[in-house]
Amino acid sequence: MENRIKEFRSRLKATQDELAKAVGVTRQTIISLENGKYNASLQLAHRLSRFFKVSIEDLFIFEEDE
Amino acid sequence: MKFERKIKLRAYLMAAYIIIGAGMWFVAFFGENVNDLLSAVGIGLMAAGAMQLGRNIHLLRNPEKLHDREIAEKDERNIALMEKARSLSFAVYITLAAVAVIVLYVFNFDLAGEVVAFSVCAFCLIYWICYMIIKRKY
Repeated sequence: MENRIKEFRSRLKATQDELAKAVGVTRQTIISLENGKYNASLQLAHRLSRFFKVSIEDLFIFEEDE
Repeated sequence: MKFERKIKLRAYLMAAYIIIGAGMWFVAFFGENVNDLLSAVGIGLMAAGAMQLGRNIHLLRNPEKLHDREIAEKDERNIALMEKARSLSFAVYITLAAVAVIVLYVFNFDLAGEVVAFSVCAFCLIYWICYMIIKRKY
């Protein structure tokens, strides 16, 4: 699943470390999410969308065949 | 359970390791027959206990590091990685053990073959029991 975490994070000028601390995960998890290597759980997706003040659909791009 | 309490409990457990290790080493060294294996296990327990105890005390004295540790332990990616590693190691073990059973029987190590075959069966049985329990829960 693709996501726009990097894009929204850049807009807020937040570092990966700041984002990781805000949503309660490690920086490595943020890196993996941004690289598309790891898919966030529903809880983490919710925390991220609240942090960026956008909807989950705006942040994550769902693809039917996944 | 609060994470700080969890770390405190771990520190107590490590202190118990040190005491048990010291006891084993004492028995091995000052007993009637010097037992090298018991002595080595005792020293190993003491060393591991001391290292982990020091680490836990350091965490308890440093709230920022304690918080970082809590995040690292509760991090969902770390947990997912551990789960994947666990399931992969189970699959690898079962495959290797199944091959080992055949090889052991071919080379007439019947007893060893039986032990390994039994462990494979036991693993499969435990897996099936766990699956049935988890299936009811979710």
